[in-house]
Parts: sequence; structure tokens; C-alpha cells
Amino acid sequence: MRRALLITAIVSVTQLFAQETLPPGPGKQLVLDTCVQCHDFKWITGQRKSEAAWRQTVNMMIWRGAPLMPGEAGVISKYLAQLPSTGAGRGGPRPYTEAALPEGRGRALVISACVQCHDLGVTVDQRKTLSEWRRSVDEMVRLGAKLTGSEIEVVARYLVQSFGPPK
Amino acid sequence: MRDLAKRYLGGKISRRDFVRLSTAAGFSVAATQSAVRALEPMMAATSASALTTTIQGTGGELVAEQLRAAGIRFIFVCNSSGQGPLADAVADRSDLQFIQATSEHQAVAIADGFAKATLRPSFAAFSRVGGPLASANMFNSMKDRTPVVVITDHIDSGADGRDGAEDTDDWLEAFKQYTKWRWVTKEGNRIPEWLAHAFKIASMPPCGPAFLRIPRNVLYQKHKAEIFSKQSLSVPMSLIPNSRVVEEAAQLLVEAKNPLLYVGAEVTASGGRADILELAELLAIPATQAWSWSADFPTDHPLYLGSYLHPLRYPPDVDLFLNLGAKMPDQGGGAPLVPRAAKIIHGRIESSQIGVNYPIDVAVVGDVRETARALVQAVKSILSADRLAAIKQGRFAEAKQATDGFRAAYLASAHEQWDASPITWPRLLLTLDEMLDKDAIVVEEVGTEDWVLRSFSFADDKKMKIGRTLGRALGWGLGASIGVKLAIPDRQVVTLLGDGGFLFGQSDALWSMSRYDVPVITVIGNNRSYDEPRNNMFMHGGRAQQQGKDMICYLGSPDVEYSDIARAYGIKGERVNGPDDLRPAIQRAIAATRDGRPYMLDVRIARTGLGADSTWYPHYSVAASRTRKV
Repeated sequence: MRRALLITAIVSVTQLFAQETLPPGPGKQLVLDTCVQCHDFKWITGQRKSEAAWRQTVNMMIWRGAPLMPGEAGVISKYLAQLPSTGAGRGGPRPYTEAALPEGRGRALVISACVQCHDLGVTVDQRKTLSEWRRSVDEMVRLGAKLTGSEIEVVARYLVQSFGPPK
Repeated sequence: MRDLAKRYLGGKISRRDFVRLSTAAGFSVAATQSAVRALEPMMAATSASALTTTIQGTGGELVAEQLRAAGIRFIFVCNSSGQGPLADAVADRSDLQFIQATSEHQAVAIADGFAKATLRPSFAAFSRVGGPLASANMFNSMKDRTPVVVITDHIDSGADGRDGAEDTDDWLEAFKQYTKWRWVTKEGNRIPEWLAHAFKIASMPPCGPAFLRIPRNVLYQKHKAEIFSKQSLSVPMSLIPNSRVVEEAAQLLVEAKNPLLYVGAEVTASGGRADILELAELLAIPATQAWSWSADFPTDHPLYLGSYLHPLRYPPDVDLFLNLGAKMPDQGGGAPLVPRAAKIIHGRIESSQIGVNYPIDVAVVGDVRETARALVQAVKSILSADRLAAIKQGRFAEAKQATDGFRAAYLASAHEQWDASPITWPRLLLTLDEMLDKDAIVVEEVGTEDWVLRSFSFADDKKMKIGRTLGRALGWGLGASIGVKLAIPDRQVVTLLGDGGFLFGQSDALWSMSRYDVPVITVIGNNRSYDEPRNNMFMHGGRAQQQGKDMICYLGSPDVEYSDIARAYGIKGERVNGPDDLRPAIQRAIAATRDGRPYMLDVRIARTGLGADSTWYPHYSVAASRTRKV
């Protein structure tokens, strides 16, 4: 029974991870490079539009300064139109597992800064070195996580202490 | 040398400029220094005799004489009983010209536009109770560090402190946040002293509004006072940065692999655009624009990336952030907007603003133009010409590829919806860029600045951008365009507004525009909405967005006919309904202004973004709420 619950939990976490992060595709990096400077990541993934409607939106974003190159408006519009429905950006409740986080300096920061965008399962399942966690946290800040420069280091050290490589 | 000596003695150039220009003309340093020593006694005699002049007159006459001495020609004035003594004085002084506005906030907008166009202080005078209405545009002036001097009358000197009619007990406190300096002048013989001080404070970088109040009885009484000459008000502020600090900054610049230039309004205010461009081109440093009332870098230059974004797509992995003349990027409540790995050089004359909220590697205090010049020399002293050329070649080609791509994508996206009706912003702006004079001045107060920056070629030898203000308080653009046209009458001036911005009390400015034959083309991008706030609010996904209720942004009911408003002031104009009507309408506007009259274009523009299709608003009818038809 315990094993079955564990498998169920892992599957749920994986599904949530898939929902809360961008699926692979030719437009994923473009979204990360050109949209998140001005928009909350969740807001982009939370909208459902046809490719034509996305194309109009992307054009308007270019008018406002989005740094796209020729031909990329089509790529990004097609990609956004294929995103699975998440309901993100509509303020719905998000499950997460605070209990999976061991005590330590930085735990509160992880709870406050990370669960705004993704379930904690995607964090606790990973094993990374300090430099890898630093890169991950930097990337999250780039995507909108509300952490200051010194807090980034605190969070990275907490994560490596709690979810570092197997010893 | 003789011509330079004449200009030096006449106070037209400083001693520093005399030395610099003499050596640049080929005279040796020794010869130049010898000439300076010979000229000093003459200079002292000239200065002593011209510093002050004693006169007798009413307070109003003292104000007028001090304005003359400060080099002021235009007085931006509103109706006010308290300005009677100044009106009496100007009646006898034909070299002073009243330009009247019908409300105080437009008087300040006109003064602000004039000062921005000339980079010299301007002067506004109005009623003591007009201050609160003027304060929105004084706030804009303060945020932009625009040198505007404002005077109002003040309750009679024997009656203050009683919270009387038209009075409050502490007017200066009310204006503290909107002014660099403020004072009440109760002694008539000191009116010129304090007015001169106001001009000096307002025009010393970092500039800003100065505010003087003079009791009405003091303005009417006669006094004996000394008028301060223009020369006596001059405080040269071309501050040279510390050479050791410059060397440190230059070293970081030459070591950087991916430097980025971030420019702000001090570049334009210092007259340093050409020098900043020289620095950028020397090392092929890509440039981004901070929020600024001016275009501080040529917008069609291969190194120009547009407004700053974080993270930047190009250049990747910025390792040096060179901020010249701007505040650091405002991250709001979020993380810093400069890559943590990047070293930061921050150069400003407003030293208190250096490094606010960011750790700075090198802080350079000084005039931004002088800083750029010093950095150019320091970089050249570190790197050989060959090495400089090698760095520039690779980086410039990369930057050009990026900026060419961004430009091509913008044009492609604009042309994809080129024939859409209502007209899109890019079609309107790109058509204006094509049809207006190459050196037209665009006074803009529209919601999205990048629309404007991406559509027009702004540079020293091309178009000039003035606005939008850093304060963003709407109700500035139309008045400011009057001030700009007064300052530079021989260049075409166009003001760009949204319908929402115009409705912030700007019809007042049409009165001044019409009375003084100000040939400005006013273009209202009329989408019957506050487009930007609606997008900003809906992006939070709150209850209004969820229910599709546009609570406070839709403006289409009533559907205002703006050209009818213009017509009421004797200004011709027309509504532009579709894309095919645009070019002929712009042509008619250009023709009208060439004939010496203003013209208004009400261009029906497409709404954009979230909730763009909605025409819903929270309706309420007072008439329907009545129980009696009265």
C-alpha cells in the first residue's frame, strides 16, 4: 500500500511538473528569452488561444518591444497555441508538499518564493550540486521568483544541503 | 585667438572652454596660459561692472527686470489678480512676452516643454491658488529635472498664518516634493536676490523646478533693489570626473567581453549625445535606453537595442553594465534587473542617485558628457588602435545582426496588420515618420514608449523626441508642444497623445495654441480606451478580468469628437477613420501648419491586448435615478 501511494504521489508530481512547466518544442526557448521580461510566466501559460489569435498577440508584443527576430513570431505563436490547458494565471489553488522540505535556513524562502509557480515535487525530486542549484535558482529568479541576491545564495545552499548529490 | 578672447571677455565661453578651444586651434599650452593671464584683469573689470545694477520700482518691476537680466523672453502666465504688478511692468517692456494659458497645469506644461527644448530655464507666473492645479506638471518637471522657475503671489504679508480665504498656512510644505527649492519673499528689496537664486538653483544640474511666492502687497509696493546679471547667476557645472576613477572604469570597459550601455536623460541634458555615441562606437558597446524624456541614443543606430529588458536576448551574458545618466533599472519589489555577474559602472552628476539599490563597482561623479569624453581618452590610452579596431569589428557586426533582425521583425509584424481597420499604432507612427520632416520634433505622451522609439529615427541630425515625462502624470503633452514650438519655431512639431491622455484636461492648451498661432500638428491616437491600464489590470487575472468587466478603462461612451473640440477653439481638424484616410489627412495637417495654424488629427486606433473587444462599462444614469423630472 505504501509503495502504491508513493507511485501515485510520484505520478501526480510528474503530472503537475508537466503542467506547470513549458513542454519541449521549438518555441519554448523563445518564450523564455522574449516573454518573461515583462510577463508573469503563469499568465502566458494560462491563456488558451488559437494560433491566429496568438499571432496577433505576439505581433502586439513586438510593437511593444519584444525582441523577436524575423520568422520567430510564427514559431512562438504555434508553440503557444499547442500548450496544454493549465488553468494557471486564474488564481486557482495549487497543491504542494511542504512536509517534503527538511528544516534548515532557507526553507521558508523556498516555500514563499517557489510555490508561486510550481509544485514543490519538482524541487524535492532533484539532486544537484551547489553550482547546479545556483543556476536553477538564478533561472527561477529570471522567470520571476521573488528573491534578492543574498536570498538566492541562501536558497541554493539550503537546496544542496537538502537535495544534493547522493553521497 | 582674438575671436576666442572676445568671446571669453563677453562671457560667452568659460575659461576652460577658452583654453580648450585655443589649444585645439593649434596654440601651445604656454601661449594659451599667457593669454589667460593677460585677459584676467580685463575680465575682472568687466565682471565687477556688470554683476549687479541698482534700480527702484514696484515688486512687479523688480521681477520683470530680474527676468530680463536672466535672459528670459517668454513669461508663461495665467490670469491672476496677484500678477497685476507684473502685468503693469510687462506693459512697458516690449522685450518680455506674455504667453497666456487658461489653467495653471498647462502654463507649467508649456514652460516645461520650452525648457526641455532649449535646455535653459523657463519661467511661469500665476495665481497663488493655482499651485495645486499646477502641481501635477510640476511633479513631471521635478521627475525630469527640468529647470522651470515658478512664481505666484502670496497673501498680504500682514495677513498670513490665519488659514484665510485663498490661503493655507504652509504653502512651501505643500510643494516640497515637487520643487528643488522654494521660498516666500517678504522683503521687496530682496525680490531680485531670491528670483535670481531661483534661476540659479533651477538651472544647476541636477536641475529642477524652483518656486517663489511674493505677497501681493509687496508686489505692488515700491522698493530699491539690486538686479543680478546673467553672468552672476552662472555656475559652470561641467564637472570633470576624477581621473583615477575614470581609469578604473576604462579598465573594466576594455576587459569586458559583453559590455552594455544604459543611457538616461542626463546624456541629453548635458549636451553629451555625440560624446556618448563616440564612446559606444569606440568599443562597439550595444546601447539600451532607460526611461527618459529624451532619446539619448540614436534610435536607428546599429548599436541601439531599444528599451532595456532583463534578461536581454542580445548581448548574452552581460558582464559589464555601464549606466550613464540614468537611475539604475527599477526592479519594483522583485529581484535586481542587472545580471548578478555583471560589474556595474554608474556615472551621473546627480551623485545621490548613483547605485540606489544596486552594488556599484565604479561610481563616477561628474557631468555625463565630460565622463564620456574622459572614458574615450582613457580607453584610447589603454588599447592600441589595432586592438580597438579588432574589438570593434567583431562586436559591431554581432550587434548589427541583432538590431537589424529586431528591426526587420518589427516591420514585418507592423506590415502583417498594415491594412487593419481601425488603424494600428505601428501604421500610424511609421507613416508619420515617413511623411514628417526629417528633423521634426515629436512631443509624445503615449502609453507605450517603445511604439514611438521603434518607429521614428531620433538622432542629433534627424528627428528629436521630447517626452514622455518620467513622472507619467498625464496632461502634459499638448502644452509642452506649445513650449517646444515657441523655443524652436523653425522645426516641424508634432504632438502624439492618446485620447485618454488628452482627456486629462488638455483641451485647455488648445486655447493658447490658437491664440498664439502655434503651428503644431496634434495627433490623438483615439482607441476609446485606456489601453495600457486595462492590460496591466487584466494581467493580474482578478475578478474584473474573470467577469470580462472593464471597470475604468473604456472611454467610448460618450464617443468624443475631438476635432469638434478643436473647432470650438478655432483650430481645424478631422477624424481619420481608416487606413486609406491616413496619408491624405496627414498631408492636410502638414499644409495647415505650413500656413501657420495648428491642426488636429483624431485617428481612430485599434485597441490592443486583454479585453480589447470589450465596450462594457459600469453604467449609471442619474436621470434614471430621479423620482421627479427636474
